[in-house]
Amino acid sequence: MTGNIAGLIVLAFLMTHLMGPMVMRAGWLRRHAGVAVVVWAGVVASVVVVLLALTGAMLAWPPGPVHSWVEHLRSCLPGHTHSGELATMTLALVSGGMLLRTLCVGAARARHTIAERQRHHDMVRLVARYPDDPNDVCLIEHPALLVYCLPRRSRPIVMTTGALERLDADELSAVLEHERTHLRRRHHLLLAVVDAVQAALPWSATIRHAREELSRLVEMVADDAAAHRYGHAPVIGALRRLGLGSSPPGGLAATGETRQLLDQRIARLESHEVPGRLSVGAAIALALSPALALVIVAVGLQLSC
Amino acid sequence: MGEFGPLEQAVMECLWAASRPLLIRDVLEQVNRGRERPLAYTTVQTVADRLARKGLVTRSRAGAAIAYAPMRSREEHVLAVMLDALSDLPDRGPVLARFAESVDSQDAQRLLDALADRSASAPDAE
Repeated sequence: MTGNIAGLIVLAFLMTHLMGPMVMRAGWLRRHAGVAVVVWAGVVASVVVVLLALTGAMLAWPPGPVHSWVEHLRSCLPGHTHSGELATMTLALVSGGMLLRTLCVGAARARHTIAERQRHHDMVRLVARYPDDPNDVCLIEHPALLVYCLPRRSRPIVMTTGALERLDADELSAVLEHERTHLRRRHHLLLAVVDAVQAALPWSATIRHAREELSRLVEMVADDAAAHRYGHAPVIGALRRLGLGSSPPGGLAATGETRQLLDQRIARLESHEVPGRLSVGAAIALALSPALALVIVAVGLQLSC
Repeated sequence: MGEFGPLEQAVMECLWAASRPLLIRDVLEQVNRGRERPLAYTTVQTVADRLARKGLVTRSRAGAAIAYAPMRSREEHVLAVMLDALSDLPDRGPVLARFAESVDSQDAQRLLDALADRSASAPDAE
């Protein structure tokens, strides 16, 4: 059991601190945005699995509460005593408390996100116009060029009249396809979950990288879908127009980074790096990493019992 | 919940268009203008109170009645929506370009001004 827990601690350290930076260095992943999204989602899932397994092991460390409970169930003989109960109880209390706190923080963050989205929706609704075509768009009268999705049942895409005026017909179709891809693939859900995990595990470098990469990658996935349907030119055109507006005279702290992302997205499309068929197989293979983590944990526990 | 949406919008438009705080019966009259099935007084009152609860409308005493006024102008509200959209919400990754990642509101305001200027005056040629 001790060996088990030590192993899990090493595994948890590798996963939470080293795996993220390692995957970051895999340059080939960038070329396959769809695969990369699956890989990063898998990375986040494996971190969660390993940490849960570690906490579970701490709680079950004999004669900890879970262990005693299992033993009690097995023998149905209450009242036998163990030595060293105080130490394991303390350990169980600490790890249980940490688990509880982590879950609470994550849940609070998710609740906050949902509440904020609802509040924003309420605000949009008061000034939105609802055009007949496209019929999934809320239109806001403002000259700034802005398009985004606000996931809900009807009219989940918000667009400014500025965008409607400034984008030509092809670019508009491409931009709408981009947003519809986000909605179809539930990117908002993925980002919200990863955000909640990050709020719960702020010390994990892996999760921090996963969040940064995922918010970038989902944009590329949506770009690819739009380019696949309407060709590269309209997507590039729309991104250029956005880029035109995104360098205000005052200069923003975040502009450098976001500008870089925009350039990166344009460069990607211009070089016609369209993901091939191969990537589906690669995605499946790499999505197995959380399953692999489960297997490692299961085998480890089996060996020690 | 959903059926209040268009009504809230109608009541807000009415309050925004007015230059002074309005009583429920003023709002009722304007909202019912051109409506096939006129709304009941209590419906409009419910909607106005919901808006007040959400902090979008203020209530003040006008004699025996209560007058309603918008908390901020329509332009200010639109601006607030835009700033909100640009702010760094976790699931708002899908803003087409995340060009305002975690900027504070003052920066976002400048950004919006710049965006509006560029959008209006930028040449169409690429």
